[in-house]
Amino acid sequence: MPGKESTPETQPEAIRSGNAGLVVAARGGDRGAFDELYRKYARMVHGILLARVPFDAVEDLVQEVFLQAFRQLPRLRDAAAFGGWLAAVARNRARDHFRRVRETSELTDVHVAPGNLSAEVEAAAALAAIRGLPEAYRDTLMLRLVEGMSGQEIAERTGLAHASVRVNLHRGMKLLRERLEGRNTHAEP
Amino acid sequence: MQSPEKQDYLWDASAPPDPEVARLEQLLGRYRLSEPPRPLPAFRTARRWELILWSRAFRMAAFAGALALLLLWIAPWTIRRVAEPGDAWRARTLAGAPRINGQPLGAAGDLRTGGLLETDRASQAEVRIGLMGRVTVLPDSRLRVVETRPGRYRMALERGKISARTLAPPFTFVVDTPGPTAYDVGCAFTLETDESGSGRLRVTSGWVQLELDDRQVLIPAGAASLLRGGGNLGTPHFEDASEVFRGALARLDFEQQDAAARAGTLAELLAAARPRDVFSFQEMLRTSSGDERRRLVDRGLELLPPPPGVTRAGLLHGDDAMIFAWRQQLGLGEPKRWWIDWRDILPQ
Repeated sequence: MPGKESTPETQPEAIRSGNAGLVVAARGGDRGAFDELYRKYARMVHGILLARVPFDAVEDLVQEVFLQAFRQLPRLRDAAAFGGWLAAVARNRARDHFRRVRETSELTDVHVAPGNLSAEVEAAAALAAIRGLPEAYRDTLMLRLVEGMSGQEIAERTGLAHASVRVNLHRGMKLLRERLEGRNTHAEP
Repeated sequence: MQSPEKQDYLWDASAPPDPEVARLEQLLGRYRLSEPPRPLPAFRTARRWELILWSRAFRMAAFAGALALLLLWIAPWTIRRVAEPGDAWRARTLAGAPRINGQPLGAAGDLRTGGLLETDRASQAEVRIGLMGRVTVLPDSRLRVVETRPGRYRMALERGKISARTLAPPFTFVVDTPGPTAYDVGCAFTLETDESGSGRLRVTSGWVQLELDDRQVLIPAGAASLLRGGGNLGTPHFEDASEVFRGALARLDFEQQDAAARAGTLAELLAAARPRDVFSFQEMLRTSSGDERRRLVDRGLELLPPPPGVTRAGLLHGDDAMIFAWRQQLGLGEPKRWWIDWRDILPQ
């Protein structure tokens, strides 16, 4: 329905109760339920991490985030808040990663394939530009443009309001466009 | 008609593509998480005690506990640093023109080991010994600093009168006189003496111990002891005792009387005594003997019944434990404790 917001409170009960059921089961030690949550939320965690840490480190960190989440799951009181809670765990894990390795370089994310040099460089530049956006835009755009999630999915996974996601997508895209255009302008001879 | 969202490619990829967004998707897709994601490695669930250890409440409690231990550890050191006077006591003029080592004190000055503070008939001074004690030196007095170091603050009142209030631990604040030495047991007191050692100690709070040669006398609040030159220490007595009682006690303590006269004086003392004055009897038991001791015990037992286990025979025998237990019946209390009697250090 156009204009209707999808907050954790207003999301379809099937989604909330479905995920909440998985969370409750996983909290009780059900490994199968947790694997299902992993499959559902891995992309969200991947996108949030990619917005903060070098690409090479992201896949391992995704696994670490889920292992940490599984250990801490009994401390999550509201099972329906799992998505937002997991996103916070991922952001904290990214911060810890930087405290440990103190490395950041956009160039590390340039994976050059022979004969496709300009596309790789352009992708790395776009990634760097997204990483330079404010946090709310950065996460939402990363989930949309990199992970291929729809606005609806982003709202459902992160627990953000439908309207917030929409605003973040559009304002973030506007900012990204400006920055990429600015970069191209500076790059021209 | 489709909803605006269905036409918004940025919101939903099933809408007509926005070329710019689609190109970015195509460029950035190389960073996408591979599907299906790598399986999670084997892991075990956390044990209950691990969850408790990781909990924020536990970490905060552990931090608070560690902080409390640290504070407890450094508190005595901090209190000493703040409360102790260092190598000098602070003197200030209250009236007239006191002198330190013969020089005018002025408004205030330091009094160090060996230093002499003098007041004439018109002057008064106050000496502060850190937060441990405060001594008012009254007119016509000479007060010398004998020793000042942590755990020992010793002065000599060579002549005159002082009024002291202390928070020092028992037996760390000491005043020598030409006669006995006064040991503070956490208290407030006034002490006066002349060059021969005659004078008086009055205790207004807590306890003071007077020592002369091998004799020791503990004096509680409300009581006093007369001092006489030549090594005589008067029996402590409550100041609110009758004049007859106090006069008889002074004659027994300091006058040379024949046996008959002494017996008459003792009879006068016993007749004038109240239950509270048995405190003086108990002190006299330490120096009396024979018939005198028997009369003190019998009159004392009339006035102040003993607690169970204390017998007349034991008291006549001079049993220290029984005398002590009998004294407890007077309810004189314990030596002063600074955390209860801290107000005594405040200006009056």
